[in-house]
Amino acid sequence: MAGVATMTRHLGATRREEWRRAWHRFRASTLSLVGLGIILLMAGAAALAPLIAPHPDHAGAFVDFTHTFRPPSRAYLFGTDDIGRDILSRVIFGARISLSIGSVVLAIALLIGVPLGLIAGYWTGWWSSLIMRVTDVFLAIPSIVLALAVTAVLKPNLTNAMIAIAFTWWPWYTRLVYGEVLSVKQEVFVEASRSVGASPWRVTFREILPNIWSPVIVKLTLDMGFVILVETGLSFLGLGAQPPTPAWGTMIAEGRIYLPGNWWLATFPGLAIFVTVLGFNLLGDGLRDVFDVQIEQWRGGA
Amino acid sequence: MRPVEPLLAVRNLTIDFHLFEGRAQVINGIDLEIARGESVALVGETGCGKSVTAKAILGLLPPNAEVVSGRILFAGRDLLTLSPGEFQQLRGRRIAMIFQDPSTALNPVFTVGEQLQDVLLQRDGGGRTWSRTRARRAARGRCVEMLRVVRLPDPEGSLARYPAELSGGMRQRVLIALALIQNPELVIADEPGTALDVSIQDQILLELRDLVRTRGTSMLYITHNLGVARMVSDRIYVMYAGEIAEIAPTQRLFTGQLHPYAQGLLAAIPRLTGTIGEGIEGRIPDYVTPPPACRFEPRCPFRMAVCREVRPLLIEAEPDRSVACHLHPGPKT
Repeated sequence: MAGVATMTRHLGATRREEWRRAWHRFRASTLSLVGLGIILLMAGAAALAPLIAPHPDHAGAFVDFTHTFRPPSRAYLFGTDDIGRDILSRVIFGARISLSIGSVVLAIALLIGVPLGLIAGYWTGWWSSLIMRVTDVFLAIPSIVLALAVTAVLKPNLTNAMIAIAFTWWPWYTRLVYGEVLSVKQEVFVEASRSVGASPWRVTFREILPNIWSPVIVKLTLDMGFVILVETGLSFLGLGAQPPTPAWGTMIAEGRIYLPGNWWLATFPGLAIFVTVLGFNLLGDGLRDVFDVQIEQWRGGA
Repeated sequence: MRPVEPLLAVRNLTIDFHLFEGRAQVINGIDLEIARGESVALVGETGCGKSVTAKAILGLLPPNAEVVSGRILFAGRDLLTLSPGEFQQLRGRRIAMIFQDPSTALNPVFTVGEQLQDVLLQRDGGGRTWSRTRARRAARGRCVEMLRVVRLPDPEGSLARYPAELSGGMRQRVLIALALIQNPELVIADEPGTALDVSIQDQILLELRDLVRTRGTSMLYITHNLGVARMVSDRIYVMYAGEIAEIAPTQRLFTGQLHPYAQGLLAAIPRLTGTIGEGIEGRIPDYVTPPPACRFEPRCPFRMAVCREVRPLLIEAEPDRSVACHLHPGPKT
């Protein structure tokens, strides 16, 4: 049927049009674009680190006492450190560590926090209250303190730092999802799906969950920055990545004793942290603008 | 009693709501029967307990509701004794519901096709004999067929559309398709089409009426609109303040009403000729402290002393026609 075929093609055009619209709204803010640019740049640097770093071998336990404490120059854009390693190379490899820690921590937090929030929000019973009270207890303790306690118990290394941060991070997602579920479960379509025989699991994971992704995605983006910040904090305190791992926090900790004379040791990793966190925050704000409008359109119906 | 066992028989159903103000006796001992293939309308003003009755039949009462007594017999089984899991198996497959507001009753983030397929595949999905993709393909065919049955324009293309891309009337048709796709024996329609404009409402209701008649589906229409009830139903239950006031075959209710409330309802219908209807004095009573005997007594133009002392019971005043009013003591006395 030719008519149906044209309709389908028309529909495809409509879908593409929606993406263009979303992109248009995102683009409306220069800051969002800057954020996206920073993140793409960081992700690219992390992915291609061995190719673009001028001295890939400097990322690990490399020693060259003939080139220690070189200030930033054409040969070493960010200078060299106390044992002659190129700081630019180490900062580029550090992006790998920071981004992967952020992703892993948030993936764990998401896997634990979202189902718990869904269950606590949809079901009513003592176990729902229990989930939320445990969540409240976790939220009452500052995450850096909790993470410090956990890493102090475990051995201080990168994996344990990730576990510790994830351990403190999931309650935020439980809280967020819980609140969203409470409002979405009042919608008529939830009752409608129950009236045609959907099971409670189906209603929560298939009907409600897809309706609450947008605030979760926005929070994930914003949290990438914060998780990186907490991880660098732990590494700075010696509870995260251990030397010679080129984690930004560790690099600052190592370089701080040479301040202020050899300032480039600590400054460039610090700048990397600052720029990355800023990038995720700008991106998150931009995404929120895009999603807010879409939610209004969905809820409004027409 | 009818000779054939009815598909649905509600017997002496009483439901209380636990409220801050106390116990609200929202449903006060109602009886309701629907035969196979019959269309019944439950008519009453807003807040008289029509929707609560429907939700009780579907097992979707809010947590603060309590079924005090009564039975809901569906095909011979008492629904009130079912476990939540058994009830869920029944919903959609044997009893389904068409919702009032088509703009909120569809999930905004899924396409029409996904929602229809979900309803079909939630049970036999991932079955052992069929592969999942084959099941999906078969389901797709059935969805298109169903959308064609409810006369949605361009059923193939509509599968890929989101609810926000459809008009109100189209969404109402999708909701009807969702309720009918599993071929339930009983469909409850809660104020169908009220959110649509009148011409489309009439068109969809007439199509729905013909559709369920040809499929042999039993219907329970919940409505405050007597015009709608007249158009779609075989029999009408007039409900007032959680009680059944009058039961009558549709045509006979419109030629003469026995209960004063039913008379008032009909008088309140605006007509093209003459003045706007009179309406009924007063409001629906408070359910926490209802009138002691006849709940309509405070508003009734014919109230008598007995109405405040003895609750009028539903009695057969004429063949196939019952009323709960002291004005009609029944043929026996």
